[in-house]
Amino acid sequence: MGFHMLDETAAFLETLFAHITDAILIVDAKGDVIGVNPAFERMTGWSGAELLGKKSLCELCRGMATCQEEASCIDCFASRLQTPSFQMHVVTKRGEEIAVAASSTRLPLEAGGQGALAVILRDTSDMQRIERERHQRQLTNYVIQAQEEERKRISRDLHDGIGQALYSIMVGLRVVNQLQIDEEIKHHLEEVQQLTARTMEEVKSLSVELRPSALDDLGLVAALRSYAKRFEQTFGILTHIEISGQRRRYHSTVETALYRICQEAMTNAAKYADTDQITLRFVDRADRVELEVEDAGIGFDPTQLQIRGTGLGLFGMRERVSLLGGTLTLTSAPQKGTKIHVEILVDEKGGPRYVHPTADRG
Amino acid sequence: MIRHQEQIQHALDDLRAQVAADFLALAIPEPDGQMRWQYASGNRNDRFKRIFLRPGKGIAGRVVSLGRPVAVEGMTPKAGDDPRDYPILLAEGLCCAVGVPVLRGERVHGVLLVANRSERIFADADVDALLGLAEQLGSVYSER
Ligand SMILES: Nc1ncnc2c1ncn2[C@@H]1O[C@H](COP(=O)(O)OP(=O)(O)OP(=O)(O)O)[C@@H](O)[C@H]1O
Ligand SMILES: [Mg+2]
Repeated sequence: MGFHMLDETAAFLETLFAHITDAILIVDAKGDVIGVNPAFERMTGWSGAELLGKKSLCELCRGMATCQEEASCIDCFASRLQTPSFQMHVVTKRGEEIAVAASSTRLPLEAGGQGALAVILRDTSDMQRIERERHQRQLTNYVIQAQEEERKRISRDLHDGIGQALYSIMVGLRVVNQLQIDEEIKHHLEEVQQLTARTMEEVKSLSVELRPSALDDLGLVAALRSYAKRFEQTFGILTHIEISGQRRRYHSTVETALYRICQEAMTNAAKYADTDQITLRFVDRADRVELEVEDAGIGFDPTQLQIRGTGLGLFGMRERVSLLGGTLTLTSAPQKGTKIHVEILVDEKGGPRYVHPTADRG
Repeated sequence: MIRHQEQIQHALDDLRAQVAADFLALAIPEPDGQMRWQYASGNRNDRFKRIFLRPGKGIAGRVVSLGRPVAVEGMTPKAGDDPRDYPILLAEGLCCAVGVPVLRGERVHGVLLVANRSERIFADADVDALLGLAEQLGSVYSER
């Protein structure tokens, strides 16, 4: 820097101190406040006059965050020559405690430094909020993926393991029953055969209900069709399926999300709508997929949801959609039925066009 | 003697009047072994006919696997529960029900269900009447 005259330097530093966006707090060697800049006044609500010579550092600071504690005085920054980066809890005039990013430097005794401590503070609550949200997203995404993986694994184990074993048992029983044996034993064997067949069906349907292999092997539309058929047989609700556009395969994250959303929307309709018909629409456009589940049931007032404090279904649907950069629209009103519309933009390969940065594409 | 389909229907209608219940139904296996609600009295639509009963699931499933009467009271759909556990109640908007087994010899052949749309605890006398019809039906199916 080329300051030749002391006056000019002092004036420059003064201006810098007054205009900089970071809050600056200066305390003397004893810890009493000897200087604050306007940014500090704005951040804390205290005026310089209320602080200078009247308050000490410990009255303004509630401690620094460590990995163990939110706010601690152990290893206080004031006891060190330099603490380049830490989080400090500042008490505002209104008595609130805010967490801010800080750095502190002990000035030398000589050259007018007087051994004072300069603390520079920056309000990072916005950044922290964003960070928290990002973290939350990541966690949700992780939970969704982990749950899906687990379902896939158990579903396969049921099908390939227990299912296959039961099949072998059935074949064995049939062979035995073809031998020359007592009519009575034959009759018993037939019952066991029937029981085995039914158990095999049960295992198969458990496996499919956890996660249909059709979703991986045959694709979303096939999986939705067989889900709708099972749904109809479970609840007696007629399901109309309308499919338009080309029929592509999509990235598995897209297919899984749409399948689960459809499942949850239809389950909700079965549970609450009190209807005997549901329409399922699926539209495959060049740049997007759309899914719609509509019932003509009793409907509800979506604005009342928070108040009633309900389940996780709608939340999960929204979460899945937002991880794929899509939109979900819920339309419902008492006696007017309910419609869930989901739209996800996709690229030529059927992958999501916009993915939430934390979403795992694999 | 109950034998023909109309007679079974009549028996259900009569019992429903006798115990003053909203709904009565009988689930028995189809020729392929799939259990369905094949008769009903007091139904408000045909959803019940389309339902395939799953082994071990719902009231009927429990009656079959336990082989004894099962009662449900004050059922309303709630967050977190699985509607596959009560499809017949949802289909007919029922909240209280008692299901009893229809025995064919030693084995549970079918399920007879009595249910209400409004709050009600079925009295012992109601359940006895239900068991009476279940026994008659049981002897019909045992003859076949
Ligand atoms: N198709 C529908 N018809 C009528 N009401 C509905 C429908 N879908 C949702 N609702 C209402 O919205 C609420 C929230 O649904 P959500 O799926 O989030 O929760 P839930 O189904 O109650 O619980 P969970 O899904 O966790 O089991 C429901 O409690 C219900 O009142
Ligand atoms: Mg739900």
